[in-house]
Amino acid sequence: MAQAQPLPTTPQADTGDLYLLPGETYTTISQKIGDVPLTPPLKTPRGWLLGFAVAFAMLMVFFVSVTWLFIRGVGIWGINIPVGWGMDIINFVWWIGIGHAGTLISAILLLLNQGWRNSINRFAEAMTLFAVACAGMYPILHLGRPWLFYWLIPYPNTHGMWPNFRSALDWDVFAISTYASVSLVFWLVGLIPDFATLRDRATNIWVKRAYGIAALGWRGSARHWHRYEMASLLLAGLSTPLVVSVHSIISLDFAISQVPGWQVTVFPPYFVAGAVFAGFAMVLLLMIPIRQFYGYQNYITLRHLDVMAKVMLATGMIVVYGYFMEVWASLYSGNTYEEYLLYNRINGPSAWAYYGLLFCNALAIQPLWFKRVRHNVPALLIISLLVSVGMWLERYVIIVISLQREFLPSSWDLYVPTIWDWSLYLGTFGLFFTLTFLFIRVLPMINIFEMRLFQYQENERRRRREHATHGDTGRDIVTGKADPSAASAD
Amino acid sequence: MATTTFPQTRVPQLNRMQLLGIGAAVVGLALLALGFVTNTLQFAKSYIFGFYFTMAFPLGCLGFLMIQHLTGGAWGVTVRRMLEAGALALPIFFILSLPVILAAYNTFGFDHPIYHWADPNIVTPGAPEFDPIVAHKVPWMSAPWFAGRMLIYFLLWSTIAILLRRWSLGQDRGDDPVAAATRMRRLSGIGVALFVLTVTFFAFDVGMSLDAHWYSTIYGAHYMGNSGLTALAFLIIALTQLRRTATFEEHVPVKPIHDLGKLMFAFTILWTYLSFGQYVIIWSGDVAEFTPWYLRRIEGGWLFFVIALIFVTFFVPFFLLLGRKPKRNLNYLAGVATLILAMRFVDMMWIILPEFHPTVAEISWLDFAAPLGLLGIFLAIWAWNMQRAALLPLNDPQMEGLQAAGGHH
Repeated sequence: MAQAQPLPTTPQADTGDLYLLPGETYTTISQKIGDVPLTPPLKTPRGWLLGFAVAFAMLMVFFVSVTWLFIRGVGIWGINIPVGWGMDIINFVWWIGIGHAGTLISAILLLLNQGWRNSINRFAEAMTLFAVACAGMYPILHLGRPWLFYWLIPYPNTHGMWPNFRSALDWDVFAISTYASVSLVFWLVGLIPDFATLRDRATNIWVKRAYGIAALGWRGSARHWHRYEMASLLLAGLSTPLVVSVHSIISLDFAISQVPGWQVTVFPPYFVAGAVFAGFAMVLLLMIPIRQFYGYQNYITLRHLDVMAKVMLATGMIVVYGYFMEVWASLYSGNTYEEYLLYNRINGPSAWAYYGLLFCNALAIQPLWFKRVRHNVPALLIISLLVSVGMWLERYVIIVISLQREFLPSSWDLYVPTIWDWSLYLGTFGLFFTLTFLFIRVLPMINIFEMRLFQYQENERRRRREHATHGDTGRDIVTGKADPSAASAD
Repeated sequence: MATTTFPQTRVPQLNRMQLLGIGAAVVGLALLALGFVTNTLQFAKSYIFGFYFTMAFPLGCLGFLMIQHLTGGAWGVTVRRMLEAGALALPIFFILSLPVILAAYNTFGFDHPIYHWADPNIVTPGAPEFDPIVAHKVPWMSAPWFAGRMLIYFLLWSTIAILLRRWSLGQDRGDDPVAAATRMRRLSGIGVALFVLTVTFFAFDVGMSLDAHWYSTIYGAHYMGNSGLTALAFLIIALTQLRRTATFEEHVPVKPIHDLGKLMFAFTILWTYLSFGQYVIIWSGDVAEFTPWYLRRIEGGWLFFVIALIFVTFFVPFFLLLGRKPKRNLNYLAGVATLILAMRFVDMMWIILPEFHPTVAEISWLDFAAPLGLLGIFLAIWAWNMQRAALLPLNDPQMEGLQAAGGHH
């Protein structure tokens, strides 16, 4: 099989009820997905080069910002006393939240036998890893002396110092490092069979060797598959609690304090829902252009967008529930500080952020109740963008508004981010997109073997339906539904 | 459409369950009547506790009924009729909420009303025990508005339950099953949102406001988690009876049982997560407003409840349900479900009763009579409704998923 021959893509009518449009075979799947990483360097698409160049330039902004920070210290940022946590922690929470969609898709949906995840899980997991990489930067850079970050890890040392185990910030160290390592292992294990496919399809000997080493001697024997399935099931089991634990612990960074607006018992589940919400918005935001650019509409269908939009709506409504509980609590409490918090949110100097978040996270998602909107790609793109902005504003509201005006009016102060706050934020986008572009260039961004399995299952299902008797209405009543019998995991 | 009309089901197992329910109801209500005469205050307290505990059954059923319409899946059709029958108890439970509403009005004339916000000595400015924080809550927490909210909650829940039941039975009678399924899904979508909101406030009103100072924004979600776990345990126990019916033997494979086991496992973890989250936030915050709620619950004998909750509500079911094989054995699952249900009772005791007996764990015989009577009524209504429809929604499109899961064998 020669490589890099662009396949004639026959545009299929996507009626929005299939997870895999008809007309795909094992070969077309391997070819369409596998050929992207195997494209010779000189034939790299211009669009990719352009995108990578922009991302790489932004990555340079990141390095400049970090270097200046190392030279001058955190004083270059807009943080002050009382607002000791500014954009660094906002962006940290924002980025790590984005990662959650990947883990949810790869772990929880695997355990729930949701076959449709097959075409989006690889990409979403990669996004998780890159988002965690961006997120992990911030607390370390915020340390003041970032080169001593390893002091956060408890190890016997001559200073006789231990981290404060009662601090949620120290719990973060464990939560995030566990999250990053488990996600990485899960992702790499899932790549092994695809590395082998690329090894077998590559024509250049060096490329063949590189993928061959990564494939760890995968030959696709029954024993290999058996162990693979077992391993991914166990890893999914390990990852599932991480979807909940990481953001719950991040919510405790705030919630175990006494700051009004932070000590809120609904925080852990509300943060987790917010993370999945933001994560799905980001998956949609990235998937929509990419499926267009690489012509993957057969694999990532309208139905995929539809379910992702539904997940976004459901988690968004949980977040709205959280907002409602906060407002209700301050009205009900009879506590001056809680009441003032609400007043400050709707009337204070940063009220724009609160109204912005209500608009983006509560109002803008309401059209998703309608199928017509969920099948409208540009509308989804706009809503996802608004949600991404809204979730950033949410963290701004929680962190900045609560800190700006704490208990003592004499210590109130405004928070104004400086150019270096913004440049570091822009820089992490550079890191994120540079990694994303490299990923889609050298690795199959859709899981090849799972798509082949899915294609087989869909064909079986179609055949069974044709033989079934209940077709009197002429309507296909189980179209595209996840089939419990085709379980890959129980 | 190859529609069959299903005869009304006379199932001996259901008959027995109905009799059991009626028996429990009669005994429980007789004891409650005795308690009312001998110790009205204790009666009212125990009734509030019993009502709060028992409401988890119909509410959990309604919640899962809507969720399974939204998610589909083999487990959903398997238990749909059971969920409908459970949710249909809600209109009757509105009548049963009357003693709680009367307690809010302090009709029984206690010196200190059970709900402090109903006490004129506390909320009237200038009164001897005036408490400004409680008085602040009066616009929300007043007896008429409390009763009005109860009416709104039950009206909404009952409407949803009745409509979903009617459309579902329509499928049996030969209405277009796909159109009916779409209708039910749409109502469930909006219904879940309203359900979450109303159950939250129901929990705030009946349970949380027993301490008129304290509040916790997770309280409503915690009660929903509790209701979900309660309903799941009930379904699994009831399935041990229904499984022996011809309909279930023909159509229901082990797969949906396994799924219900997984759900029960997940809800066990959810309960722990929500309980622990609330505890760690309040305890670490160490604010005088919030921490006393926990202090009251570790005094006297209440500490034993905490230990039991940690081990028997979380660790024991967690390990019992961890494997794959146990979740596919209905009898085993039902054993675990019984334990879980017993611990739901203990948990609700620990949440409600320390408000009445803060310094020492004091449990009255009425605290058993009230749940017994109310649960008996629920069971009787449930079994009665179960006998008024086919045991499975055989015309529903989702039945295909059940057959694909191995229903032929």
